[in-house]
Amino acid sequence: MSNNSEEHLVSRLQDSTTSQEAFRELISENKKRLYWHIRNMVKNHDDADDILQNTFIKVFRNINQFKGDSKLYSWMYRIATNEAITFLNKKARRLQITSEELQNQIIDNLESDVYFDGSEIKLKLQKAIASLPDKQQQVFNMKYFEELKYREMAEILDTSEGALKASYHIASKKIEEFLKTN
Amino acid sequence: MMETNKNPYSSNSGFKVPEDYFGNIEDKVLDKVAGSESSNIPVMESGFIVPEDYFKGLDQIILEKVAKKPKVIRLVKKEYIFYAAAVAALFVLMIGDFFKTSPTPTLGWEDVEISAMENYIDEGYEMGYIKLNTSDYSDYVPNGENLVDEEDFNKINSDAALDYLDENLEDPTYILD
Repeated sequence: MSNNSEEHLVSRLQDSTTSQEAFRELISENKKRLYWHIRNMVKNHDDADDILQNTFIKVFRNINQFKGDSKLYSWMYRIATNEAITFLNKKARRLQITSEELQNQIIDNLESDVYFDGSEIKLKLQKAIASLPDKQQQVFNMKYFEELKYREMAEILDTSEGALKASYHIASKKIEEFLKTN
Repeated sequence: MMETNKNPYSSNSGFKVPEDYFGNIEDKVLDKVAGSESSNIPVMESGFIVPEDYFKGLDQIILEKVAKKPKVIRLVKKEYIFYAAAVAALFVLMIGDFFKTSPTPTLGWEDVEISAMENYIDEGYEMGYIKLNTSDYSDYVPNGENLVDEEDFNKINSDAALDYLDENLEDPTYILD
């Protein structure tokens, strides 16, 4: 989306007379990529669905606080990322387990998840991703599955492109090693 | 040790580098590294699938949800803060009782472990001895006199909760019930 059209969309979102229609457009344009971003983090469809809806609701209710300091999509990605992280932290706390243990539990559940294509290699890849530290998981998912550009990732994650490239490099090496040895 | 060049940044050698060469060399190297590594992992999808027609009905579901007014609930009517306050009070009373023989310590909100309260409420909710409306659960925390949509219970307004405790601590059975 060009800067002009984004500014126009934001002003329509912030105007109560046009906000509903503009919001419909916003959902339509962004629902899939935000869904997959969240789904790659939480793995389960129902959880991803809840978080996605909450993300859009927060976007709608807080759109007047959006000052245009960043791109609208990166602002939405940040909200989605925070919602997913908060969800995972709460879940781990509720189950009184560490985030690593939660990741393992989520991956174990994948084998019987009807919304997971249960091929062995894909399951192994998910296990490899789950073995990474949180930040590397996020970077790997965003680059490998979501095919975001480093520039976009840097804006969303508020990190330098160099750090992201290094992170992806390390993550890839670890995954490659995991796939070879498991 | 053999002596190295005294000044590694000397330009007296006559060699030159392209303008901005050192300015973006990190990016160039990292690009090559990142690019070469990704090719060693087979290209594949995540394996996640969505229910049929999931995305078709999603827009309308979200639009209907945002059309509803955000819930703003009076603090005193809210179950969550009641239980949070009750649990906080229990923790404070228990600590107070434990230290009864020593000089009376001044107890306050900071003495209550927030995560312990959260776990208690979470567990109580799951075990069924605390009843909360799931649509409100974890989504509302006190802010002044009202409960407002908020994601993190740790941001709870301690003054509001303590005020509530002060108002309701007169009858312990009310809290212990």
